[in-house]
This record gives sequence, structure tokens and C-alpha cells, in this order.
Amino acid sequence: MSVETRLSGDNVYTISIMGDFNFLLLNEFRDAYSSKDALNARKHIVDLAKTTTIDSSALGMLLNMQRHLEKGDGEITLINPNEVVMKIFNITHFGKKFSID
Amino acid sequence: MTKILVVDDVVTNRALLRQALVALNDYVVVEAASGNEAISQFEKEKPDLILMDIMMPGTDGCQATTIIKEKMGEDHVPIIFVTALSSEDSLATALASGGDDFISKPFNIEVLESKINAHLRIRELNQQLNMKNSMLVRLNQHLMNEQELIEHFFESAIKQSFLDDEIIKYHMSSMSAFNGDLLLAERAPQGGIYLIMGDFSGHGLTAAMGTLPVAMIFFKMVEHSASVGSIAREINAQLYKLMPPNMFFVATILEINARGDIMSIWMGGNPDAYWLDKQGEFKDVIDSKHMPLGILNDDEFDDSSQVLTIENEDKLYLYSDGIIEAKNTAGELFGEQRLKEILINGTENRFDEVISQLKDFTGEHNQNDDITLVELNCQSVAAAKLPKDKVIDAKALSWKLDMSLNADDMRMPNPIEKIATILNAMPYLSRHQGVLLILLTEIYTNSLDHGILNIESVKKSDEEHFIEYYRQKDQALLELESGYINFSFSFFAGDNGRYYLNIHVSDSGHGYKTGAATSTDEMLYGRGLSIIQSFCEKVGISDDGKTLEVLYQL
Repeated sequence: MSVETRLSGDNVYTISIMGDFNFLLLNEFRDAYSSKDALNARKHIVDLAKTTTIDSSALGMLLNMQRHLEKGDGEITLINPNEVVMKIFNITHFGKKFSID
Repeated sequence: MTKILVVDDVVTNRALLRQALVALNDYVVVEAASGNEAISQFEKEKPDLILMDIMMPGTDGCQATTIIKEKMGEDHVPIIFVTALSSEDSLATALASGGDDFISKPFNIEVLESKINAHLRIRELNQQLNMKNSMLVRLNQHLMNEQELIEHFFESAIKQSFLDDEIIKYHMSSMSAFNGDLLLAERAPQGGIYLIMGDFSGHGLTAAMGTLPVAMIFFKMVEHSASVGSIAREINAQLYKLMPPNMFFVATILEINARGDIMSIWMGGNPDAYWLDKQGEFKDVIDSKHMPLGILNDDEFDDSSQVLTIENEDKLYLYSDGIIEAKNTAGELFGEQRLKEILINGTENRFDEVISQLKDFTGEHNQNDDITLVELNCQSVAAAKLPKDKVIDAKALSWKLDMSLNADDMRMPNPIEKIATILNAMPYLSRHQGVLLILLTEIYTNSLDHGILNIESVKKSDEEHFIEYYRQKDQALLELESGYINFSFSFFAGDNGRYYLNIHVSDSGHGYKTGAATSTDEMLYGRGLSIIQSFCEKVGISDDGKTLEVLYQL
């Protein structure tokens, strides 16, 4: 599995991405954020600790997630991006739409 | 009903086979008594399978088989030899003629049954395959047609592009439309050049579709000399409206002014651009300040652009992230460092160097050509010639407009802006608002300072006296009791199909010596006049400098 999900006791929903985050994960990632747990969660986190690279379709998928969950800017948190992924967030100014830790 | 053709010159053999076949599975049996008859029966009856005797007078079974196999084309009709031959050689020859199998005489009924069943199954599979194949061929044809259609739209949308190789060197995939990559450039109506480079997230039809509104908006707004920020804003608004939320357009939009000394650039999501001077010395990186287009709504959108002072033949390198993300066979990235190394420390031909090093890195077999590289050779670019199809609008009326400024008006801050605002409302003038404002300001300053207020321009040539000059001007304005500057604008169509604005200005001042105005370039006044001259078709000074008349082509 390249996409794993976890619901913590305090109702925080975390999606973890392993390896390259790209269009190949389209369906898996969509399933992850459109699950019942995701809809009912208090807070949403995408954990990129094990993500190696990210492409533009993955950025699009993150925007889809935000739209689908009807979240405002900064309400979804992207955590642990590596240097390469962080660089892409910086270039595309994704910090405007997501909290990045 | 499955139909089997039995070929044998001996009538009892045919009868025997017919009896067996009917008993087996109620097959429809047709017969032929010779090789030639077999061929004609095959064409007439279209059997599903043929049982063929080999030894026959005239055309024998092997010859008939070769001819029948030729005639069946893509359709597979199994031919089974029924033969008394037992030598392996003669059987091999028989099969080489095109037969699919054989059964020895006298035949065992179970062997006959299983061979017929096996070959009919093969025939059925073959028929299914043929059907799917023809479906695929049709589908492929359909896709090719759609691809051609997209290419047609794409080419029509971008054919206007002004990609002069003196100014813009670029590398793009031949399939750029389907990668969603886009590079457009166009000359501004008053000279200077605009460029947009970007790529859509995603591939294929959806990405290609996005390039159409972008191209349309770009060319339209360049025609109106819009700022790069407002072009970015408009494209963003349209893409935000049209595209699904996961699609966006990473883009850089830039403009170089007509003199080639100022560049405005709006960057959203593109990697750092490299800026070098004429000698190839590194000047700066220009980084993306914005999110890609199509993500933010209009209220959130930031259209602020970076403004840089550039010099002739400065080079700017723009590229898509495809270059940095190109991989070699080991899965290693080409990376920013490698690119930076070539661009900053490279020698003569950095552009070709990047392309060739990238090719060496990824290997020739790796056709991952999803990259765009642009080298912009900064320089002044002349205005485009008016395209022939821009015929004159017969409805545009000629008009004349007079305005007069008195002493009180002259004391207001920026009276010229008010005049410019009125002119902007007139047809054909609004797109020239920038130039007209500059022009009117220079003309007005000239009349006010040197005509009405009678301050000698030469004083401005000395920097020490610069502030003193403006102090004097303020004082003189304050003390000014009366005076006028009259503006008379007339708009008309020339014989060449272009529109013109004639500006006639006269003032109540004392006039000045026109000769002094051009005696030295150091004088700011002289510079003002040269600005006016650079924009206008004709400039005339008369009445000892109390009247100035210029003709501006729209």
C-alpha cells in the first residue's frame, strides 16, 4: 500500500503517502480522503514523511481533497515533507492553501 | 449451423464421412469430388472447416489447399487432410501447403471428432480476435482523428505567436499540446515583447484544452498592452471558472518594454529563472512569487509583478520542472544543481549545452521529452506591423476636442491625468493610455515650465540645481496670476487605414528659443522633446515655441 490512513483517538485523520506521490495514486488517495472516517474527522493531516517526490497531478489531488472536504485555506495540514517536496511547495506557494509543517 | 466441406474423388469415402459427421453433431455437410470443385465449393458454400483428401487426379489436395488458404485471407477456415499417406515426408509436404492438421485413413471416429472440435475452437477464437482487432482499428482511427482535431485547434491558437529566433530560443516536445506545455510570444502594439511560458497539470486532451483560453486571453490582452499582472489575473479567473479543481497552469508571464530596458515578470509555480548579462555573467535568479494559475479565486489572487531594469542582450533562462525532474536510467534526477552549474558557469552556448547534457544524462532511449527550455535575449523589439485583416472600422467618426487650462487648473496636482482620463473614454485611444499619458505630461511640462513659468531648462542640467529648479517652479506657480494652456485634440483616419491623433498645444507664455532645446542631450527639457519625438510621427514647434503640434499614430 502506498497510501495508508489512520484515525487517532482525538478524531484526527491522517493520510500517509509512501514513495512517489503522483497520478498513479489517484484512486487510492481519493478513496482515502472520501472515506466516512475522513468526512467525520475533526482535523486532517497528510503525512509526507515517507514521500520521495511529488508531481503536479499530486498537487491537484491535494486541491481536490480540500474541495471535497469543503475545507478552508490552511485547515488541512501537510507534515514532514522532504527537501525536494518542500521546494515544490515553496515554488508553487502551496502554503497559501495548506498549513505546511 | 456448422458447415463442413468434404473433398474426395471417391464417392464412397465422401458418403462414409458424411454419415459419420451427421451422426456426430448434425453438421451440415457439402461435398466436392476434385481439387477444383473444392475451390469453387469453398467460395460458394463458405464452410467452417474442410476435410481434404490429398491424392486426387488433376488439382490435388495440397494444391487446392494452397489456393483456398490464399482466398480465405484474414478469416481462418481449418483444413484437415484425410489421408492414407503414412510417410512423414509426404505428410510434412502436405502440411507445408497450408493444411492445419491430418487424420489417417481408415479414421477413428473419436479422433476425427476431437480434431474437428479442436479446430472449430481455434476458428472461433480467430473470429473473436478478428472482431476485436477491427474494433481496435476503428477506435484507433477515432483517436487519431481526435488528435488531429486537437492539433488543429492548438496550431490555430498559437500560430500568431512571435517566436523570433533572434530573441527567443526554445526547446519543446513535439507533442507539447498533449503535455499541456505552452509557449507564446507576441509584440506589443507600441513595440516591446510579451511572453508566456507554462504547463498544465495533467496530460492529454484536458491539458490541451486549457491552452486554448490561455492563448486567446494572452493575444487579446497583449493587443491592448495590458500589464503582465492583469494578464495573469484574467487567465487565472478564466481557468478558475473553467477547469476542475485539480487542474492548474504553472506559468511565467513577462513583458519587455519597447526600449528594452525594463522587464515586468509574473511567476506562478515555475522554478527559478536565471538572469545573466551580455558577457554571460550571472546577475540574479528570479523566483516564483505566486501560486499557479487557476487555483485561487479572483479575490485571493495576487497580480503583483516583479519589475527589473535590464540591459541590452541580457539573457533570461526559463524552464519547466521537467528539466529538473528528468531521470536517468538509475532513477537519479537531473536536478537543479546540474542545471545551475551549466547556466552560471557555462561558456558560449548555454542553451544547447543544457539540451545536450540533458540528453546525455537521460540517455537517447529515454524519450521523456516533457520539458520546455527558453532562452530570452533581452532587447528592444519594434512594433508589429498592422496585419492586413485589421481593416478600418467604418463607424469610427472623426472628432475634435478642445480643452483649456487656466492658472488655477495649473496649480492642481496632475491636471494632465484628468485630461488623459477624458481621452481614454474615446474609441481607439484607451489602448494607448500609457503612451498618451507620457506624451501629454511631457508636452504640458514643456509649456508650463518654459512657456508660462519661464524657467530656463538649462538649469535642470546641473544636478545641484535640480531641487532648486522645483522650488522655483512651485514659487512661480503660486505667484501665477493668469495664463492658459490650450489643448486641441483631433482624431481622424489616415489614407493608409490607420487612425491618428493630432495634438495642438498653445500657451500664453513668452515662448522660448527652440534652438537651445536640442543643443545638448544633458538638458532634461531636450530629453522631454526627444521622448515626444520618439513616440510621434510629426513634431512641429512654431510661434517662438508658444505652439507645439504633434501627430500620433494610433
